[in-house]
Amino acid sequence: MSASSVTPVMLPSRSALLKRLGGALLAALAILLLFVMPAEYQIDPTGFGKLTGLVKMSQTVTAPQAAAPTPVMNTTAAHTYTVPFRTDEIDIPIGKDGELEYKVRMQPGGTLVYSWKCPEPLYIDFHGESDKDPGNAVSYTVTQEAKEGHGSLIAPFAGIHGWFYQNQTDHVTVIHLKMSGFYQLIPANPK
Amino acid sequence: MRLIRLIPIALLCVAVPLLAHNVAARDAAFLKQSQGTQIFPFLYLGAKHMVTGYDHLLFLFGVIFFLYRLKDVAVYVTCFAAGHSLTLLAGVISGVHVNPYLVDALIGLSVVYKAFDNLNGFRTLAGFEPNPKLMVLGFGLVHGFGLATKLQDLHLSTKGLVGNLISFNVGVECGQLIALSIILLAMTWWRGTSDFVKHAVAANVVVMTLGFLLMGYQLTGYYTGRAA
Repeated sequence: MSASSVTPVMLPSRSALLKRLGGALLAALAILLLFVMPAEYQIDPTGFGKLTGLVKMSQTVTAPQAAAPTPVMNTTAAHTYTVPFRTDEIDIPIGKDGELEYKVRMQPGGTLVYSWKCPEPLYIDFHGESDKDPGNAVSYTVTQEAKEGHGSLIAPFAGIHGWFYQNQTDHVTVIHLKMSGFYQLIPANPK
Repeated sequence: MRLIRLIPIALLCVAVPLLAHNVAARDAAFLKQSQGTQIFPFLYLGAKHMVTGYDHLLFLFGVIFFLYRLKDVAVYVTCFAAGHSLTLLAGVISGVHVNPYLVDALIGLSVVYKAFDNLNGFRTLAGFEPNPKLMVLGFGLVHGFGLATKLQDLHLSTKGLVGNLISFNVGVECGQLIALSIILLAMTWWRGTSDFVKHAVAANVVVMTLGFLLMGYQLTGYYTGRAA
């Protein structure tokens, strides 16, 4: 009836089977604890991740993703710039069920502080695109639904950084965005 | 051309199971901007998702491991396709949102199940074997929810959703056929070697290990609430 009629594997003894099952479980657990958890989640139950530098992998990858107000990147705490910071206030209209991107250009280590508000709930993907890999968006934070957002960014790479907004309602509305920091405005790309 | 380059990668994915498996970021950016029905982009994305989706491939690999006749392969693959198409379409259209970590953990479990079954585990331990066709259909439903969550994460525009969804689904089946033909070619060659049976046991233990690993990986994500 089933594939078993052609299964060439002999019926294993109970103990042989349990050995295979246990071996698979143990091997998976070891790989999970030693490699996957440190590299993917920064969880290092054995210390092996720290020893081998695997933990750092997830730090560099997920540091900008963390919603915490303090930067996690292990660079110097102080950043100095040769130019004064700029401040911009922008009103961005967004159509019903509309979607748009608003981005600024930043150099690695450039700092941006922002606050935005909108009367209607939006879906937000705060992300960046490296100049070296344009079109490949790296998400910093994704918010399913919010009417305001406040935060900062230390740009992890040279490129454009900013927000993908999606209007969750069928009302035309306006996003009010305030930014300060070390960045460049870029002309809106006509679509 | 890119598809041809993806083929060795697909094979590699079986050995390197923890590559990112979400719809690639660049494709995600495209999908977010897309409006209306876009048949070929979604067709391509569906195929790409399947060909590069190591969890789906591992399960497929386990399912056809001991299927020697093409007719059996067709029956099982149809069960799998029916299962995942149903939940992919129903999931996205109805907007049911299943936790992606739990779905992906269950997909890991499906890999464990199939490898365990290939080792004759059920008959040895429990004295009976769950109907494999029904199990493949059932786990097919789970894989479909997995596909659905990946699409839902992208917040697709509602304009042209059904057309895009069907294109994606057809693409998934195309990708599955591509992956399947490569796996079958390799399996046919492998079965012809003298030590196949001995290697078959080891291979299924490895597949089971990878299934457990996928489960652990996803469950860790679920409990910590952190994106991998």
